Amino acid sequence: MGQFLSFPIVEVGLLTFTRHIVYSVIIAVRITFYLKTNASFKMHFARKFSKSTGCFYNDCLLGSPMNKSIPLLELKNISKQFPGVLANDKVNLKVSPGEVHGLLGENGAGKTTLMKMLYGLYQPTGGEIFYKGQRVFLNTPKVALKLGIGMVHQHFKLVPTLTVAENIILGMKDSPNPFISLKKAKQAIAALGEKYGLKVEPSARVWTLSTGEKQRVEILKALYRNAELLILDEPTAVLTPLAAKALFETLDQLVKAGLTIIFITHKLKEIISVTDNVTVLRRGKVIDSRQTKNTTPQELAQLMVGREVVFQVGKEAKEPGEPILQMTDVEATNDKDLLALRGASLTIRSGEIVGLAGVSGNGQRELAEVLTGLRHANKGEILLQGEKVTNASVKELLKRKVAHIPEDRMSQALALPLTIAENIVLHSYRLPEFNQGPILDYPAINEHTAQLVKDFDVRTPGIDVPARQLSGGNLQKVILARELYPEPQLIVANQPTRGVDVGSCEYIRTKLIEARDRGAAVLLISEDLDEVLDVSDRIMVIYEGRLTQAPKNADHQTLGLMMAGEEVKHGQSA
Amino acid sequence: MDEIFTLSFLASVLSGAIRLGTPLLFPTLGEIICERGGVLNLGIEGIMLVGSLAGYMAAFYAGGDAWFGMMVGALAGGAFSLIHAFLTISLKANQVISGVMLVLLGIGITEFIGTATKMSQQILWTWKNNWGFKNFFKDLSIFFEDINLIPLSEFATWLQNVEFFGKAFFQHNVFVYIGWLVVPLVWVFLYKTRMGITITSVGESPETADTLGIRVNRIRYLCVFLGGMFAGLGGAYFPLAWVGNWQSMITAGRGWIAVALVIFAFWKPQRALLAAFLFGGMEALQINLQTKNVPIPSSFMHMLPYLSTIVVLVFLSGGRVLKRIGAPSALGVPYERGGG
Amino acid sequence: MANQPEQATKRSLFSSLPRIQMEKRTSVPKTFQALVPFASVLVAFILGAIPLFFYGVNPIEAYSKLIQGAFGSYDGLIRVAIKMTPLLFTSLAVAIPLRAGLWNIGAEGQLHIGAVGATWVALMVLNSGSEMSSWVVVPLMILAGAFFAGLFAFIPAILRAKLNTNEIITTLMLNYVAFDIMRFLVAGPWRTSTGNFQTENFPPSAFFPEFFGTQIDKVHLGLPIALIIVAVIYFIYVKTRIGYEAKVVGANPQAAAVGGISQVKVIVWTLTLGGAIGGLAGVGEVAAIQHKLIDGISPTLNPFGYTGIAVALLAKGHPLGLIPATITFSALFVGGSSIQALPFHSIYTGDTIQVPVAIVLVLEVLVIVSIIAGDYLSRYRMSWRRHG
Repeated sequence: MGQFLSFPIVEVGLLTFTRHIVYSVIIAVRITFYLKTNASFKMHFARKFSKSTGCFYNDCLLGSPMNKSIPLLELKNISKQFPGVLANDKVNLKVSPGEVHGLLGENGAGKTTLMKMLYGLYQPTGGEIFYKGQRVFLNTPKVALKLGIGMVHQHFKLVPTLTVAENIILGMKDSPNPFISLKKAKQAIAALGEKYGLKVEPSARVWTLSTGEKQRVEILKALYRNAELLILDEPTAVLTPLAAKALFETLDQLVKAGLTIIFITHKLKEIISVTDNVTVLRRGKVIDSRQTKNTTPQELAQLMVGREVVFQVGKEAKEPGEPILQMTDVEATNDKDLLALRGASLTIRSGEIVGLAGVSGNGQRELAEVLTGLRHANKGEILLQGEKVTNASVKELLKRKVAHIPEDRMSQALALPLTIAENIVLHSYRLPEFNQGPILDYPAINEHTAQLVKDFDVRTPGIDVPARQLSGGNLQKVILARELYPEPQLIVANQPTRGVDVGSCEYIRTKLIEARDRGAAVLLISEDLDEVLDVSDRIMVIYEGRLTQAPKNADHQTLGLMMAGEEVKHGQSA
Repeated sequence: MDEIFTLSFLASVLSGAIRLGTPLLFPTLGEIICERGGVLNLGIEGIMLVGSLAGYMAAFYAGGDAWFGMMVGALAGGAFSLIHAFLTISLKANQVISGVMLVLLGIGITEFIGTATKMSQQILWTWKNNWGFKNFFKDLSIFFEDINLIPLSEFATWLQNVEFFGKAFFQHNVFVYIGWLVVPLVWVFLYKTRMGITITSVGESPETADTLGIRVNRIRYLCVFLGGMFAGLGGAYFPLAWVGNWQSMITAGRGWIAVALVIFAFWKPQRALLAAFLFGGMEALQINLQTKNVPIPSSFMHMLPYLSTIVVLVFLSGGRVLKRIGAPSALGVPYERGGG
Repeated sequence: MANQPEQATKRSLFSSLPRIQMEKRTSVPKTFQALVPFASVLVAFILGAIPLFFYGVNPIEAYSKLIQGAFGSYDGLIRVAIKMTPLLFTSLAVAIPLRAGLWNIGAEGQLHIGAVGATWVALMVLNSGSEMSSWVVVPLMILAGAFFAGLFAFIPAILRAKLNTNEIITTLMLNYVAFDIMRFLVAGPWRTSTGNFQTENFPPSAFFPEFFGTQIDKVHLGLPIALIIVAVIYFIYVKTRIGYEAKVVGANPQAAAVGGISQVKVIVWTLTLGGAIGGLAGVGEVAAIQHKLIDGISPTLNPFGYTGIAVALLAKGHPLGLIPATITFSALFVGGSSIQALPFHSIYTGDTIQVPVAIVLVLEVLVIVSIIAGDYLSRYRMSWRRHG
């Protein structure tokens, strides 16, 4: 650096220099505006390019008329390989213009992965995608949006702190003006809202909206971008049956207006009532595609699960014993400090499985957390075998043998960087067999883990590998193994089979029934009505933080109505 | 004691608040942009040091052109902060670590170059008896003299000599007034432009931005670069508009205060102005009280900004309030598309 | 897939070019991870050669003299051991809470408070004029230093545990508060009559026992204490229940809650213990090196507290790894200051020039940057790929 000092000192006057800066800024701004007004620099090149090669970057597809004879969308042999998992295996799919195409499959069948590839969030590892007869490369959502593919994600993709209008124009480059002008957006929102029954207040902040409204914003977002193909990923999972009905009406109008819709679900009833054609996915493969009117729910269920659906796991009727859990009038708030449980009461006896049905977000999570000591109950009383345990600590409840299978196993139940053994003893390291006072007895822990891994058929390369190396089903088995040791009195299982393959699913249900046969009280919280009907001895329905007893022999329809809050009438008639 | 309750004392405190608040204002605005984009940049102190040395050297070699120095300072700050961007955005490193390392690196580099070139001992090159920016309205007078607009020049001189207000508000260098101008510009940028709401979306919910075709990491790089430019500008203030030469550790921990001020300002640029001048005012009060021999230990005044930040942070704690007040949800979390 | 390249050329020019793609690894290669720290030091030296080269110093010459300065003589080795002592304490202060996923950026402040605590005891002994044995005074100083520093770290700990206040910012801010407290004391109540910003010299009973070394530099009680603490912490983290609890909280706090582990307890004890140990760094500096409290017991250029963060990272938070990591950093420190005084000849002009000690700081940061890059490469696999 020293030699720099010998540099000649350049005389640049303050004013001269400033002038230069001002000029260069003006020139830069002019160039930018020139490029912006000529669409964009890239597009400029693209048009030139297209003459020689026929097509460049999907551009020639823009605005091309819809041709009824060729499919709007065609997937040929699409595969997606994640490390260790083949999520989609040579999937073929044809969607004609103007239809509602159902994509049916169990949790984990690869529906969402497939659609994320269609939306450009993932890239396929094999196969081709054709849109309006042209091969397209969807490497970012930008391309998908440009082509007219819109998606309503299962978990809404909205910025809570921005307003509805801001969310809708976010990321759009429809004018060279760097400033946002919400006027046009607001008009469009009003017009679209009027046309399709999607009413939302454009200047409301998104975090103040209800779930249904948020979903409408998502649909508006796609429509505002002139979507021709709308992908709806499990749109009814978060809706009450009533809101779902409104959604279906909107979909109807959208189809009438010429849109094509891909409807992803695992609910058979919706497929039958909404779609024109249905494609069934199982374990990443397309099992069959057929016209909806030529099929029955039973047939679809069989295709989906891959075998005759037996609506009974081998379970003997059993007379329940003494009440283990007695919960009366419990009130608790959720993470947003809103009342989530409003006077919930529940009794579970020894040797009884109580199934809790309900649309997610009605207080299930809070109920499970209150029962297991993770959440504070503001009011009410919880008795465990007659002893008061209201707001007891988790440690205390673990001592009283309350087991908890949390809803979200990745984030709540397991410490993924830790080993299988360390995860297995998370609840039991305080027991005398695993420690000598303050010092942990690792040989005993390892022996215990090895035994459980064998008993529960956990597929793992070893007990000292980090848990994150295991697949979802195996992780759930690890949790189950941990929770069922030592034999619990009360098991709170929140969505224990969500996202688990069919084999593990059945295994988990069987284990729960085994525990019940042994005399444990089980609370099974599930969104899967079939599971609830299949496994439970008694069914309760949760709606807006209140629990209602379902009539004996309640069917899907009764439960569906109760989940929508019409419980009083049916409760009386039962 | 009576000397304290006079207008002239108040004017000198106010003037000091503005003079000392401005070098806090620029990095605070920068850090606000950066954090709103979801990147916590603790390296402000290091970036400021790099900006100060680069600005000083550039001005020096350009024959005392302070404007040039200011620009180079900003660009150097931006370029230097790209190290942080690369480590935290591309390599998904812990943002705290990367930030602290950036401070150490900034100290190391400026010390190395400063010692190597003996910048800190350099005899000053003077420009019209003054190095760099000293007094905007005086500079303005010279400017108008050059183009024969004497009345305006007289107006400027008159303005400076107005009782109380002249001393408090009109005897500053041009940087100060640029700072006042930049605050509304940043506000408009963040709230009223497409880029602004894009930045907000990237900081609040990067996966949403991703589904709308926004390149999350690219926007974050931009935020870090912009933040670094502001910090570099704040750094260049020290040699060019305040001290007049470069010395080692010239910023004296003000980069850390800027990090604290962002919390104090609830991530809002308009509040940053207030917060920066408030903290500048505390420092000015302490200096002014010292000259009047008031027996308040300077150490206690000096720790006030840090203590008050902790107090504010405690009030903001508890998740929900923080959310409503404006801490970006994805602050400090590297973005990665799930599943892949 | 077979006809992919052909299709790709049809689309655009760029897509035919292979691109670097990063894929997440499912399993982390163990040997690779173990090699990262060593490779990082090497890479740092290579990158650090660039500024040296521009400056005009032959990097190989500079490095060999640097290593010689640290390890080439008995004096150098002793100095490495002395500098190691505060670094071990401050890096422990970072590494202990890190196990529970907490960042203690406040080791610098805890060091100062520890020094203040020890000085308080020493000055009381001095002012009382009593002839207490150092067997009483020294343990009292250690206890006082650890207690006050622990108390100081307890503030961010309890705020984090009860109110979820970000501990990074609070510990960071408290550094300056601690520094100001120390400043206030040496400039005010404890100021020596000679007028400098320092206290009176401690009575000899408040000196740490010294073991061996040269006339000027002697290894003192701090080092064995630090090594014993390292061993104890290692034992706690690998064998005990509380160590396991801290590990679970660090890996996933939600899972820890489900397992009935009290987060409050873990946060409070790890941060407070870390703070107390960080305070010992200050105790050692005043009781063994300075024999009084002065403004500037931690070097301004690379303060022990912040360097401790880098050391803890180089050791990846592993207690035993702290020992080689501190040796590396204190050798850099000692070697760096030794070459500062040596004459070098510019490779451009031949003039005699000096290497600024700041190069050490640059090297330290480069080590950490390499660690970060190495970590990334052990988490992700790089591959060339045509997209589409």
